[in-house]
Amino acid sequence: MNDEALIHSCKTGDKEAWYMLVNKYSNLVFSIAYNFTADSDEAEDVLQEVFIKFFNKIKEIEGDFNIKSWLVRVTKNYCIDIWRKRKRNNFINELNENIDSQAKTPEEELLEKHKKEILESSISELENDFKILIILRDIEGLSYEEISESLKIPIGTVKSRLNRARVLLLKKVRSKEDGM
Amino acid sequence: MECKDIELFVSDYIENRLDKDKRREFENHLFECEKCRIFVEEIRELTNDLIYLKKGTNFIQKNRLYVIFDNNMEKEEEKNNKVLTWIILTAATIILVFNLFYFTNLIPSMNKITHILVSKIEKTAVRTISYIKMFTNPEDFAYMIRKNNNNLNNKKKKGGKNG
Repeated sequence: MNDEALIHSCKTGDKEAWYMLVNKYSNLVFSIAYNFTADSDEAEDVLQEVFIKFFNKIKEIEGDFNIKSWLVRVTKNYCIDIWRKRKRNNFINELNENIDSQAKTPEEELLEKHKKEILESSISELENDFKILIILRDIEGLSYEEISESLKIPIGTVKSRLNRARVLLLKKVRSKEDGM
Repeated sequence: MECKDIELFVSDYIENRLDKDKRREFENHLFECEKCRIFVEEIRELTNDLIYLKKGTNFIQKNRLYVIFDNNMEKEEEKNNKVLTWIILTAATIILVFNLFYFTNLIPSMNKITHILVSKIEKTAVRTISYIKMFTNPEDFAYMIRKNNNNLNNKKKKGGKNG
């Protein structure tokens, strides 16, 4: 069933259609939120807020609607809100210590724990504009077109900014590894 | 190509987006410069490692999202029930107040108004019923027209005699 059909079914009160939408997009939203906030509780809050907003949005959806782009955009906005609140409350320093453990997949086990922590804390130190691109492209594997549509920025800007983000991230990772 | 260009085109290179000539230039530089070679490999390794930071929701988290549907449906139902309750309550209050004025003489003017209202409602109801009958039973309709015509003729005759 495609997204349009799922939304239509959901509008008519089909619970299964909502479950299918949740199954399809919850991982993406949670992963973006987690990698952006580096905190699973906050990522869960974002996940909940985004899906409540999405449920209310469904009633208004008419015709063509790109769910993925909309969810990415809304998730990013919620994460930035959280980041601003944190910054205001001077909690930003907690970021590096606040990386908690989620249930690990076998793939995750392959990556050494300390390396993963370095990566996560390095990402959390990046500027938001760079951070979101690393998350969407390198972690979530979204295409440049999808990123461009979600963030409403030209593809050329996405490419150049992502390149800059990767270089910056590598520098941060290197400095952390050297400091260990 | 110089070292600063390598930093600029590294993503295009690892994602195979460089054209043939640029790619050759890029690789020629890498062949000569160890620092850049290491840098490109590190960027490649970094992008490969980042994939493992991908997260998934667990059963409990998903369950919390599932119930958004039920919660919202319940809220909608509650809202509808509230509206219905208010409609019933308002109607009951109006009927109660109306009866109070109709059957008692607490405020004489209101008593009069309610009686006038009731008689008007009765007249309207009788007229409506007769119209319904007219359209549902053609014989009655014809009879009523005849009766109406007779009444008009009688009136005319009476008028003629008087004139």
